[in-house]
Amino acid sequence: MEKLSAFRDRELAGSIQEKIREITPSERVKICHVCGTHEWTITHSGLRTLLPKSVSLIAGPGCPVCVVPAREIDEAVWLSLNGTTVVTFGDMYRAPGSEMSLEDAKSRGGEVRVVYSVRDAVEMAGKEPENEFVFFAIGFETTAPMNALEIPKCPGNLSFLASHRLIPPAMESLAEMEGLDIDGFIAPGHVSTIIGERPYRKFVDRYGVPTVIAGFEPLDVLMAVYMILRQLGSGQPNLENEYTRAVKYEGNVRALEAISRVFDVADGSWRGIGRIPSSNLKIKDEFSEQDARKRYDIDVGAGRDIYPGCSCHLVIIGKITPIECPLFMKACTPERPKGACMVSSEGTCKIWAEGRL
Amino acid sequence: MPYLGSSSGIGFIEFRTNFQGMCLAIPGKVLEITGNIAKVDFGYGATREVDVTLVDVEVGKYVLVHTGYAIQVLEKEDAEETLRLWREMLQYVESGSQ
Repeated sequence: MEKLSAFRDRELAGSIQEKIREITPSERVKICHVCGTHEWTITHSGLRTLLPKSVSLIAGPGCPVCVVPAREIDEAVWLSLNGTTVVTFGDMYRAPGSEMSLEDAKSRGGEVRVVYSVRDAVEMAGKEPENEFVFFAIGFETTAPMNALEIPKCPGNLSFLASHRLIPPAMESLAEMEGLDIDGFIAPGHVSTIIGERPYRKFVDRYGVPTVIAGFEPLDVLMAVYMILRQLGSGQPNLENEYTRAVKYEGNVRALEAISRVFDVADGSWRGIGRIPSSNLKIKDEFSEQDARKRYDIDVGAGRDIYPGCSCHLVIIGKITPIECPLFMKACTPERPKGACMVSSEGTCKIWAEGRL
Repeated sequence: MPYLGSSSGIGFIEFRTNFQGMCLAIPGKVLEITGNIAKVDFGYGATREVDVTLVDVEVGKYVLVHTGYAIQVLEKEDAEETLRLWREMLQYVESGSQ
């Protein structure tokens, strides 16, 4: 596996960069990725500075914490304050709801625990049968299979507040969004490990947008940019997979089967974007006992997604960069975040705050 | 400490030790398997129990792990093949543009 260090090889990076320069058109090219980990790689390895000025890399809604609507965080907050222990990932703990985050709820007596894996929640529930646990299940296709595996077999005192979202429908909404004019998509590597190549086909066939599935090493992203530019140059949009070492054509079939056994696809609301058709995973009726929304009478209002003055809704679709938000690093910092994009390690604002300044 | 660097030369992560992205998956080497749980070495002596229900894997292989579950088996040959294809692609354009 020592070969993998070659994915950061300086010399190879130099030759890709040179090829990119050779084929970059003079008119502006806008390439959109939809993964917080891609944004991290791009920002922390300074990839934007390596590219010609006419190529812009924009960050789409690739942060699974940032896109959970405030109303669903309010549900978790309500549960934590009303007799259940809410278990979730670290980033979700600080994500702002309408009035408060789970962290705030905890300081007001709410029961919240942070874990690394849903397995930790299953273990906790097994060890403490006297307590009711709710796992706040967020994440894209990469994370949904784990919950799909545990829901049918978890202890009776554990249920799930499912807030999963699906990436291809979000990409489709970006492709259709007026004024965004995306010339190429970098598709997220680990979502693709699960879903395979097929779901991206429509971006090429229906929208004519070159799409390249990419890994997370700096050279993976650089290569994806090169492959997109090459497609643009040839006038033949295509779907290519740069990350074949982790993404198979069919994806992870076992994971996909687990998802469809437990979840139904439904419309979903995305923080800052609004409703996106068929972008949400709802727990099937068969597993109502494990569905926290059916098990408890959660009482929350409509929810306020965006803090006054915050531009998360524009950052999240790549319409503006974080530095164009009036609150960025003034009223809104990683220490005192106002918007969800500044909370999560995959939020564009947080990545820019830590990587660029 | 779920995301640690790797001493196995797999070299993916040392530059993201502070990053805990939700879509991040980390490669590790399978040391032993009991039922659907494997002991996986992420390097620097960091081993963790990983659920391998979603993959077919043997001891000694590398897996890509996301939030405690293996989502893919990694083959050394695939990485080599990728690099070979890249070089070929870069070469091709070079000769094509001459």
